[in-house]
Amino acid sequence: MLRLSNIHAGYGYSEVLKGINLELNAGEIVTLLGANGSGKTTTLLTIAGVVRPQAGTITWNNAPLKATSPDEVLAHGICLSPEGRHIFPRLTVLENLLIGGYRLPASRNSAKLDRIYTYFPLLAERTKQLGGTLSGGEQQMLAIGRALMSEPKLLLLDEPSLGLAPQIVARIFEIIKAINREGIPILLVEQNAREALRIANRGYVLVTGQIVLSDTAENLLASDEVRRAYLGES
Amino acid sequence: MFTRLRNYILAFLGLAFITFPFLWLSLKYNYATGNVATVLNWAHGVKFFSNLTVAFAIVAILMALHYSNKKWNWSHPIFLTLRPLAPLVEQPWWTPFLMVVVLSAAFYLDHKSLGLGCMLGIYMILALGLNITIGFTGLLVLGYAAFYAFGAYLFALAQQYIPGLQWWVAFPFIFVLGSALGWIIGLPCLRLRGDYLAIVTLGFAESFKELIGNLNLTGSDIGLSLSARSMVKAIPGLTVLQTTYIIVAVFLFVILFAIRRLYLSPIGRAWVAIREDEVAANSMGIDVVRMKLLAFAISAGIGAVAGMLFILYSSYINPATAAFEQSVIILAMVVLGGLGSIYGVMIGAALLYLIPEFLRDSQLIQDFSPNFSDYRLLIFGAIMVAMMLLRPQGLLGSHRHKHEIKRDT
Repeated sequence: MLRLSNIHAGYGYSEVLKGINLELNAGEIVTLLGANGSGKTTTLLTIAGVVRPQAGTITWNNAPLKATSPDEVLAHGICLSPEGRHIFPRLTVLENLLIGGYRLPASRNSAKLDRIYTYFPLLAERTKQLGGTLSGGEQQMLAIGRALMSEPKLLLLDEPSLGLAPQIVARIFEIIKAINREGIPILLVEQNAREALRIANRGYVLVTGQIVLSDTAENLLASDEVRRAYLGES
Repeated sequence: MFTRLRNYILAFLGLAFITFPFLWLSLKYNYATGNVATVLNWAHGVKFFSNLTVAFAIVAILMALHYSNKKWNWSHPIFLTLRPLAPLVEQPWWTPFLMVVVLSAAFYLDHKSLGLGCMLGIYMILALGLNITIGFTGLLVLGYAAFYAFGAYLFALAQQYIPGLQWWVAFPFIFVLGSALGWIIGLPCLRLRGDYLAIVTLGFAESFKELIGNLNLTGSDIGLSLSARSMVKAIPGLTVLQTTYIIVAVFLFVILFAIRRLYLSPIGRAWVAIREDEVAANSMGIDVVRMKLLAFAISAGIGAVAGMLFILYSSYINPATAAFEQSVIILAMVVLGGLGSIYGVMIGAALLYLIPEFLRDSQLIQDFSPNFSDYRLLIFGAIMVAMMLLRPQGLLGSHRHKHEIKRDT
């Protein structure tokens, strides 16, 4: 479905991604693991059109993805929920969600909102509250809900567990899994490798802009190398 | 719908009841003796009351049409022709009262007050236009008076080459050309934010002022005046000034409704999203470049139309219209009234325009001290400082900005 071949990308003169090859098939959850600065977020930003690749091609549904800005990428159905949530703090919960469905006909909004409220009942109670006054976990739920409003065919989630309490993290991951069961493939970038591998089908391990390991999630969880480097076991 | 319609009818009856005695009795000021006498004036009252009834009837019909939307078929050609009027009934309930009061004031105000009313309307239009860039989209534009002067000069020049050019022919072109200028100025500014954008737009306004102040085409320092053939033609039975006042008022209402409509539409949501978080807005599929340019263009177009109204009122224009002080006053109206609040910026415009005028002319103050008006700008400044200390979010600041300021302090 999505294929990155030999992607080189970076910021200014510094090259962060040094030839990434990555594949994501329909219905999968794929996770990217790696230390800080290994290029996980940059990979997502490159797919989302925020960062332009210097070399290599992105293929989406067997056709090269020719889009130069995030809004054009979104028109292809690829939606990024950015790191740090980036909700609109001074808009209400409902307004935040409506901006998610900005490109699509307003007539479909109420059905989508209902679906999002079943995932996140908390949001339904707080439609008129300002986004900035929500707790971190609620903000993350809002960010995912907002991304769902764009009817994504591929969801890119960047660090959905960032700065959240373990209990909330578990719930967020449950919901991610539930969204995936409805047929939306997800590319997940996570610091919390154990939780991420638990819900993912496959995983890639990045080290300084290159993929050093790719396998099914079970194998990665079992692999000594991954356990030592990313799961904090010796 | 029915509760709304019922409230509406009750409000009409209430207003008619309250205004009844006042309109029938009009005050007559005797200049020779200085006495004030009350005079019964039936014609006054009947005229006002019939105006009121017609206005209310029209709005009631529109409301009925609009709220029956769900039951009736809107795609019927009769309704399709009325569709552009729908925003009229989406206004707050008191809007029709305001419209009636403002429009009928043309018949009752004296010459001087009508002049004040015209200028006030023009300033309100300017404040509404600038609010699109500063209030909604969060782009700090400091040279708004340039677009204002552009519209006025455009009309003044065009009527020299097209003798007898009328305002209603010219205004769509002025809006479009003003928008085009805004778009062109906006293009190189898109990478800039905050202070830097303010500097660039300020620089543009200053160079525009110097340009029109030095070109022979635009009459250099002397400016341009409107030929008699292009001036406002009085509606039969009214004076030219009354007609101008009505034109300004109608433009104000149309622009107000259009902006409110835009603000509540996906375009307005996109503007607010850009103001709040550009990165997130972009990844939610908003074309930031296009939306910012659209804000620039619409804002500039409205400024240009305000310029045209100004030259219709004053029939004369000079480079001082594009002065930095003008831009700052319009900016102050927006900030004082409340960034992003449509009604707030109109109140801001009213206060900032009327307070200095009041301090200059009020009989009360003249009696207190004949030289008092010399200090009017001082008092004006003091009021501004007090406002910013007491209500930094502006008079009717939207809840969003209130939140922002509270968080920052």
